[in-house]
Amino acid sequence: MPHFRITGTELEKIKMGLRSKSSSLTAGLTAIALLVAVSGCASPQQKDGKAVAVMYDEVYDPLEPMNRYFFDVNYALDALFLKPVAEMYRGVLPEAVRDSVTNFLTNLSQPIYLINNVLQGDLNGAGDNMGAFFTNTFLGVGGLFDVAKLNTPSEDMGQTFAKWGIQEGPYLVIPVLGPRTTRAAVGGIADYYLDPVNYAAKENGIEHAGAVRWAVNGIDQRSRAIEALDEIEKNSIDFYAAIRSLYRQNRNNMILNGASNSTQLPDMSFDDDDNPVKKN
Amino acid sequence: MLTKRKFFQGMLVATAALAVLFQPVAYAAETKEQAALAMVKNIGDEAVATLADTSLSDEQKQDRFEKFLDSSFDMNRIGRFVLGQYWREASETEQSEFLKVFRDYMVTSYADKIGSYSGENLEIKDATSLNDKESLVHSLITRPNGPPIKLDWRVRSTDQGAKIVDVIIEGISMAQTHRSEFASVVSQPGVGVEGLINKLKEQIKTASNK
Repeated sequence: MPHFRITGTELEKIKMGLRSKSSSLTAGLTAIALLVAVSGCASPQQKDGKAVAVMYDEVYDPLEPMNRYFFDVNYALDALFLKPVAEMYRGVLPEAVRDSVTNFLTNLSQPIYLINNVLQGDLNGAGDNMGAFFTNTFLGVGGLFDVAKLNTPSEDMGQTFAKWGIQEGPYLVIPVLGPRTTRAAVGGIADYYLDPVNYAAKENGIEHAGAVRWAVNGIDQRSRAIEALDEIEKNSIDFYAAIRSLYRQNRNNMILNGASNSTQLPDMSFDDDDNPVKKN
Repeated sequence: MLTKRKFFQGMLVATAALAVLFQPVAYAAETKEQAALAMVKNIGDEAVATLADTSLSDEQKQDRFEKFLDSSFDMNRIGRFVLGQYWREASETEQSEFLKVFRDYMVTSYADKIGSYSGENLEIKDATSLNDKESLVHSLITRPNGPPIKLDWRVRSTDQGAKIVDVIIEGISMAQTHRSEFASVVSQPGVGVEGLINKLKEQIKTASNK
């Protein structure tokens, strides 16, 4: 597997740059090894017929009982804490301020987006991340304003793993964090250890920076999805399954960076059509 | 002399044959996407005009939306698709009842979105071919506040003309989402297609009581 040499050298560079981070390195490498192991044994068996296989992939969820349990737990936590806080946040702060919060968080993510774009071989994307980061940091008052307007899509290790051909693995609902594919969950851990912003915060003695960033990000995103999630919940007959499908489709869309999804669309012809085309 | 004339005659016949053979194909390929584009443009304009028309009540708008759903969407195909592998397992009565209930479910789930219209506009871009029967019409929903939303329409040529078979919002297929959700319900022990139909009926009832 030639791809993994990239990770090795990349991690090596970070190791050299940041000295004595061997414990986090080990954790990161263990996580990747685990992912490869899990995704290897998790690829669903092909059933006869393409349509059935596609269908099977779509609802593949070996941990469903546990996932449904944590989905309910997360739903309760959301109703009790996150949703009210997000509603308050949206009600109290004017839109311009909330936009600046989003801009600031996006700007903080540009370094990890850049690393992932490089690992995915998308140098144009990486260039955009670099441009957006420096423009917005210096001209946009530390990232509060999006001056660059480069509209950089979010990149993470989960997407990078997908580009490297690693399978998505079983669908998971993680307590507090929510839906993830196994690939994205492991990717999230890798991102944490790769993100230069986390190391910069540590070097400068900013305590709880990671936790604060994570919490504010959660509130920001939740506040922008209040109506959408209410709507999905109201109109679905199985909220869990609807969210699972939406999450997976959205992840696939992110991996493709919104490029044409026509190849992914399922077949809508039926072998025994109601109005078959008569062949003369 | 004779051979020359024969040659020219042969050329003439060949050209005529070629013209007959290839023209309809090229013509059909061109119109499939154009027809899809024209259809989506047409209904898009109409939908936005209806939504923005302040002289119409929400009920009147809903009425128009229902007619528009029946005339522009291939609801039977969508219904059959969302039932996936369970379509074959269902009895004929279940199939026809499911199609009817699914259509009503679509009407009720999208009807209450009518009231939340706030100045959005539909910008039709272009159309690309998906396969010999289907094309994808690309459009953008532009909003007064917030970034535009990518909206693709999957259009299929049918005996009744071009019909919409799926709507894809930011890469998320509505038909696929419904199929995934319904499969999860049907596969639960003791539910089956009949249970799914009952669940949908319940959903329609609670939604229309509000």
